[in-house]
Amino acid sequence: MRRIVVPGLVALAAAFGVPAATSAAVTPAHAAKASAASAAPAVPAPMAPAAAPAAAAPKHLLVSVSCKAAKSCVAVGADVNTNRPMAEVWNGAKWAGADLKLPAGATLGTLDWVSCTAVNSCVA
Amino acid sequence: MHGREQLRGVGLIGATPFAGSLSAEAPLAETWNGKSWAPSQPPAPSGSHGSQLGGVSCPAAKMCVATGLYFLGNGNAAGFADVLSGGKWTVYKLPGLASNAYSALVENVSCLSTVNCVAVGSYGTRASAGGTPSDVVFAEYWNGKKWSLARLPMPAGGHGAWLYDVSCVSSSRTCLATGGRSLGGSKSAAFAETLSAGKWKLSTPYAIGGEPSL
Repeated sequence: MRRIVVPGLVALAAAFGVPAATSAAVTPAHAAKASAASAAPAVPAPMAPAAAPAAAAPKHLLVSVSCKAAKSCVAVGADVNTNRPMAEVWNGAKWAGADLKLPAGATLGTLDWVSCTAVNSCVA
Repeated sequence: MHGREQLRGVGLIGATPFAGSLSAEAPLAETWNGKSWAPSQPPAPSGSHGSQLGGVSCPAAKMCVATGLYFLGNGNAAGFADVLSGGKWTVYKLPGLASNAYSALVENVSCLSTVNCVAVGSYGTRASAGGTPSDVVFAEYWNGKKWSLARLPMPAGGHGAWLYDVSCVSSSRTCLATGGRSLGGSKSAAFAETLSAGKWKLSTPYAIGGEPSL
C-alpha cells in the first residue's frame, strides 16, 4: 500500500486538476507517508490544503508488522529523520527496538515490509 | 499474520495497472495456483474515479479480502474492499467516515478467519478555521457479510496518528497495528495499537535514539 497508494493518491488528485486549496485528498500526515516509503529525505506534503500551515514529515514510522504469536510481533519502518531502517519487537507487553545496521557502503535505507515464518525468524 | 504470508494455494496482490491515464487506475489481483500467476480485475466501487488495492489477506484457500481506496469526484478518497469467495469478487464500500473527514486511507487488512477480518487506516479531519488537519486512526471489521467501522483510541495531544499495517494471530485472536503519530511541530513517533478481547489499546513503541515515543 505504501509504495502504491500514496504516490498514486497524490498523483491522481493532481491529475484531476483539483486546486490545492480544495484538494483535501491528502492531509499533511497522509502525504508524509509517501516520503516514508522512499529513501529520499523527508518530503513536505505536496497536496496539503493551502490554508493549513505546512506540517513536518513524521520522524518514526512503523510501516509493516508481522505477528506469529500474540507475544511475538516484529514491526519495521524507517526513522525519517535519519533515513535509517528501524525494527521493533513486541513481546505482548512491551517493545524493544534496535538501531539497525546498513550494508557496507550504504548511508540510507528503509524497510517497507516484514514477514515472519516463526517467532525467531523474520525477513524485512 | 500478514496477508502475503497467508496465501494457501490462492493468492493475490493488490496493484494498479497504469493505463495511460491516472484516473483509469483500477483494482488488479493476481492469483497464484502453485505454479503460475493469473490476473483478474476485482470490481471498483460505483462512482469511482480511479481506485487501487493495497492490502490483502487470505484466511482460506479460496477466500481473500483485499482493501484499498477509490477517488470520489471531488478528489477525496474513501476506502473499499474486494472480497473473493467462490471464485467471484464482490466489492464493498467501507462505511462510516466522520462528517468532518477528508479522505480515508485504508492501508492493510489481516484476517483471523473468513468471517473475521480487520483493516486499518487513517482519515484526515477538516481543519477548523485556521487550524491544521490532523489524522485519525480507524479500523474496519469484516464479519463475513458486511463491514463496520471502529474508532480507535487516539494518543493524547491531539496531533494526529496514522496506521499502516495490521497483523492478527488466529490462535490468540489478537491483532497489532502499527504506524506513526505526530507530536506536534516537526516531531513524530512510532505508534501502535493492540486489539485483544475486542478492545483496542494504545501501545508504546520503543523510541529509537532515545526520543520519547509517547
